[in-house]
Amino acid sequence: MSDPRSLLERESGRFIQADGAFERLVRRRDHKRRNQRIAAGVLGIAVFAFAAIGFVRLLGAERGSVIGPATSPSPTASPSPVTQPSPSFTETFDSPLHGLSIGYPSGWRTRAASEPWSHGEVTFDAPEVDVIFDPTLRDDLYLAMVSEPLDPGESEYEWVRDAVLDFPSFGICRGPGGGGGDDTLQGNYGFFWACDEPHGASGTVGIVATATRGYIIYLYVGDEVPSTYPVPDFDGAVVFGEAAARGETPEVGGVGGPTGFLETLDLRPGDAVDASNPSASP
Amino acid sequence: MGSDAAAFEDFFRGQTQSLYAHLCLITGNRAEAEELAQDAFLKVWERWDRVADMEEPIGYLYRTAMNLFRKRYRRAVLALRKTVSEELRKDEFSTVEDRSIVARTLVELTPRQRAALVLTELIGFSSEEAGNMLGVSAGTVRALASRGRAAMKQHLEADDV
Repeated sequence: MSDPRSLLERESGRFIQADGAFERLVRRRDHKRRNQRIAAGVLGIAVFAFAAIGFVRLLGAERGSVIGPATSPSPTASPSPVTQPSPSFTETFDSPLHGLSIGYPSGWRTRAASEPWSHGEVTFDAPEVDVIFDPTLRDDLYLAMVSEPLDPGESEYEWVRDAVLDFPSFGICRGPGGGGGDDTLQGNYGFFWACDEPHGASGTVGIVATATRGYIIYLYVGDEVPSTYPVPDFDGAVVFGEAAARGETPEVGGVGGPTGFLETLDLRPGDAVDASNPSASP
Repeated sequence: MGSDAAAFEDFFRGQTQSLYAHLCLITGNRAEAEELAQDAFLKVWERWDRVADMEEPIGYLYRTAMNLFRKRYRRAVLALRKTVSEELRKDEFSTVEDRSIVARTLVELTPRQRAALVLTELIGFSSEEAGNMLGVSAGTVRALASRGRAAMKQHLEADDV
């Protein structure tokens, strides 16, 4: 009579769900669908508009192609005759929590996340975020990385789409402008976006999902960063899926070795601290 | 298509009350349990073409619900730190009129301990299955549930006195 199971059963009987649960679920589904349609429409218009602007600029400026899917200029590649070349990526950071490895410039510092990511802000001070930063400029020039397992049955596309729609809550790409689009990176679906941040800052973000895990890689360049400062490139000579399909070879700006963060990125979802047992997937 | 919708509705009506009640025990909060249950069913509905063919759609439903619970719990803990547990402790269980043994026990447990106890002891999932749902090892589930059972036993003994 008083074993834990029967006690718990009796207690659970106290909680009776209100009538109309299915009707509430239908309303919830309709509401979610409507929001997704609106968000997808806004996103589509934004992508088209910025792609068009980028294309016009590209034609006008006759500048070399920016590697990556974005047709608009990357903030890390803004034209400046005196900008120093992107530093070499000689160091490697292995994330203890997020299941990735990435290169970074010599002299930069790293701070590993101490907690799994729970959809909080992807910013310099967040304890859930792996951060690689310039020791001089600190929170004015840093790379932030987070990841999480996909939900059961969730596709790569769904995860990336939801992450893009959640930009505001992640504290990234809060400015009015931006450009980029979706593509594949190392065979993984992703969305790559260069954007404005408030107060003259800029960001570049790659949102990539493997079959089991989603990643956000975000480079923040604050307004305090001098225009001549050697800001590391975000994508460097990485070849995205569409470019690779066209047989394009990237123009390498540095002297030997990788020239951008994404070039050095190695996604290792199985190494993440909360990587689920594959047998758990239905 | 219509039969799919009808099949999902049958599934929903068959499971919603028990999922809701179990989530009430785990979260200690009726509103939170309702939100989690609805979100979990919505995800299942979106993938019903695949879920319907599974051997254990109920297991899938609970895995989804526990995933959502974990995400919400982590977010709440990060947002409120210590205060969240204080808030939870003041919630539904502390307002149950006659303060049953279970209510008094659950008040003292963390949400993770409650989840381990409910999943293994009440619903009957194995430690491995519960571990997969909660993102911890089977051993951790056993330890979490064991603490819950010990607390319950303590209250039972105290009541006998």
